[in-house]
Amino acid sequence: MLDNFIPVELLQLPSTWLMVTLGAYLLGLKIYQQLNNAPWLPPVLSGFILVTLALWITNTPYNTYQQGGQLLSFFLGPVVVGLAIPLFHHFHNMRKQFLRLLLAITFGSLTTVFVAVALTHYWIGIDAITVTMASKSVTTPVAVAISEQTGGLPALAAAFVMVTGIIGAAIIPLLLKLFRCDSPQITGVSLGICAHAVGTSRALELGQEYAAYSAMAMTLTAALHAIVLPWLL
Amino acid sequence: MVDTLDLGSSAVRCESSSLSFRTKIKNENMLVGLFALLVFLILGEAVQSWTAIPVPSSIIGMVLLLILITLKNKIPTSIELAANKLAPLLPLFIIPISAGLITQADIVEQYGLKLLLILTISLIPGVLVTALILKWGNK
Repeated sequence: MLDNFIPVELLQLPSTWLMVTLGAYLLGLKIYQQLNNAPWLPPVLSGFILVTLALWITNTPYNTYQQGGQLLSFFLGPVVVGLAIPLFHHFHNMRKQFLRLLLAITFGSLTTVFVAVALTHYWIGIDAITVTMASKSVTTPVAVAISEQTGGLPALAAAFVMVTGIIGAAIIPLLLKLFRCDSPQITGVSLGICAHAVGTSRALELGQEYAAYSAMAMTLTAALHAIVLPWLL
Repeated sequence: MVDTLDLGSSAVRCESSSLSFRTKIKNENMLVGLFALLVFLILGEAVQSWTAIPVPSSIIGMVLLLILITLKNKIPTSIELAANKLAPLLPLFIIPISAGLITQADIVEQYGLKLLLILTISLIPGVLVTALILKWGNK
């Protein structure tokens, strides 16, 4: 379609796609703010839709795009290393109730992953998808790192995490209310384990205490799964 | 190397200096922090290839940094500065990876609904186990 109007050379340039990605993110951020931080449309989702649309319209192969895109995704590495800082803070703040929290986080997160992996194995039965499903319960940069390590599909991992986050942020508070066990601690930790970053921003709307537990659970789950899962797969 | 990481504290000592000078120090410190994060990333890579541990190299780097911070019992200012600058940009860094979904369109088309169902169902037991353990622990 549009590839007849735009000089082909421009669509081969890494800087073109760097520009498109940055523009898509900024636009996504704008939309997000306009919608009062709607949890169902985080900038990463709208940005992803816009970039994919641009690739589709211009008929650009992903490999060409990634020449520019990798300049940004490279930074996932340093970001993951930097997670040591919140992790240190959390260890420090939660040391009194640490054992109980660690048990809840370990068994809660491994349960959801185990159920998801088992269901994928029996319903779909494609190994690459099953392996990717294992990293669905950790924050995206870590999920991408795990799936690269274990022979999964990083893009699919990012999609799983995004979708889980959006669904989890929507249903977890309701689910816990239904079972009459919502408290800042339980809801916060559950959001962090199952809905990672999206869940944590939802927790922030519920209150500071919710958010603190959620952020801690998210970081701890990510570290735990990244260290444990590759041995099991 | 550990000494260079402490450069951050010099920013505190410059309290009285002019604003532009302080900004310059801050930017320099951020680069020191970014450099340190990269050093740990590469260390993680090195440890991974020496030991053949299947853990992602960035996570090994994170653990090494956590060990250093725990030993010092203090977070180097420069590293904290760099990490705090990078973290809010995370969605931007993720977009290029997630756009790769375009190469997996057939999986999404064929199994999208099943995958959505799996992701939703699997949340419930996870949340219940978490809630049970936390409740039991509170008594």
